[in-house]
Amino acid sequence: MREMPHLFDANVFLGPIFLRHDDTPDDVPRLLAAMDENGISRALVTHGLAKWQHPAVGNRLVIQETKGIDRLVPCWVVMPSVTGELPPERELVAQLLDSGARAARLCTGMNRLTLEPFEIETLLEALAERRVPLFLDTNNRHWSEPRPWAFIEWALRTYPTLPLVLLREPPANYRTLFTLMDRHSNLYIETCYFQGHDAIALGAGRWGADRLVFGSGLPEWDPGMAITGLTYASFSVEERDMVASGSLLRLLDNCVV
Amino acid sequence: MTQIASAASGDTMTIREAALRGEPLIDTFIVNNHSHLGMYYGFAQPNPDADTLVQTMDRVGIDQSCVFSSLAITADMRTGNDLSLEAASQHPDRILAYAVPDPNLERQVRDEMQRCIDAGVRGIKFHTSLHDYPFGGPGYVPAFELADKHRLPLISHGVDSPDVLRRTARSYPNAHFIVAHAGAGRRHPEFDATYTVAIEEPNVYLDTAGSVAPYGIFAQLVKHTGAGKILYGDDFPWMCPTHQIGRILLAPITDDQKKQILGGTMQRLLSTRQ
Repeated sequence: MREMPHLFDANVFLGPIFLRHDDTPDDVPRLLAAMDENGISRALVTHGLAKWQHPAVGNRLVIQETKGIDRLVPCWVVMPSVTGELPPERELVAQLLDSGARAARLCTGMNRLTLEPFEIETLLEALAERRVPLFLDTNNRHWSEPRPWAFIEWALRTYPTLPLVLLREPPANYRTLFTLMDRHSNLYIETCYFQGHDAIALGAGRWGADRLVFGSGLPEWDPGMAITGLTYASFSVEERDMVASGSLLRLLDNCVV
Repeated sequence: MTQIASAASGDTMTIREAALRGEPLIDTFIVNNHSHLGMYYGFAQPNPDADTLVQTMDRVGIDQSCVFSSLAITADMRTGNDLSLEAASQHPDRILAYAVPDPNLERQVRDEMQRCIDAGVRGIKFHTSLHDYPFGGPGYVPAFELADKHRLPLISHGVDSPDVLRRTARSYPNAHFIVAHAGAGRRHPEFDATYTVAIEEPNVYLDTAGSVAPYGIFAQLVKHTGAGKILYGDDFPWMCPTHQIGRILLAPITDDQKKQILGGTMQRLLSTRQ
């Protein structure tokens, strides 16, 4: 009998999220119960209010609410500091690491960021200096929505020490995505929406399993498809386990604390 | 909770446990009612051929897949239908060919559907958006008539409206109408008239293929329509069966409901062919 993988989920929200319903887990006990139901051992969690209210609020809450819970690793939402909504970039990244968070999420559309270099370069430079993995959240729902590919290519080329993880990467972009994955070893794919035919195994064979990071989108998205997409993929148990947890652990451990 | 046996060891486990371990579901008869075959211009689809489809089916424990080539839903109905028939002949009992009518070629539809039925297709597929043609238009009428006459499943991507779906289902009561993608779940199913038609009309069903899966919505749909109205589909190779089946395998519903959705109902619909 195959062993269950140790799932370390890279894409989870804690607390209230937009368009939730009565069954949506929206606090720590309910989130942990949902993780148990789906065999998810640990999760990198962003607070829902960091995305759907303001990073200054949600980043504080995610530290408070995950305190003492080893299964939940906090992730902050980051933005440029020019308006004074968040501390200056280097200070923000230092606070992120000091708080125990080990990753950052950039909510491009929700925060109305243009992603032009003049707007974003100071933030990316600060993250790259401390090798804090940046999870790119374009809030995409459907596979046909566009990606900011010019920004992604510029960021990967300009900041080679910055790990950039594409959240909810859809199955329709391979003609573009494969080029960037081939060229830039600091680009990673979160797998919850990476559902081209056997694409996870194909990607592990082409770029290495450590370039793929398991994520589910819980509790915004149903974790079932993300999980069986991994457990039934046509690769070795070692590759499966790397995608399930090993690749995320490496990214988080690589932060310069 | 129903116990099933794993393929590798013979140990018993629930469907959920098998899914979390990646064990093939050998004791559950699974029919995928929605698959394509072949390459598509719109985006790269890895390994879209019948041989690798069957390999993937084996890993999961899917017994049969109903296929309609991507060529048939785009530029070439006849050649595309031949590709589906060829795949079925190479994988008997695993790949079930469906016929696709191109309603824009209105004068050819009846002969093409009859040719495919004579060659052994098990159902009919419409793609109203790619063919840019209404579900209720006259180009589809021969296909409706033959589906009714031969008591075949007819899956359609696009049904114009719930009213048109209801009227058509009543006009052809021996055909089994399957609304593609609608069974993936939509927010607030109680307000969705398509689901009302599926509940009220005995020959209307919902297909689960769909990339988007908001948390908890699928279980709400099962509760609303009943498991017997929902059919597993994965839309291979536009999407991967390994992902798509997870919506069902890990849903907070009973194993008996999962078995109905995974293949129990579809086996019955396929068995009525005359």
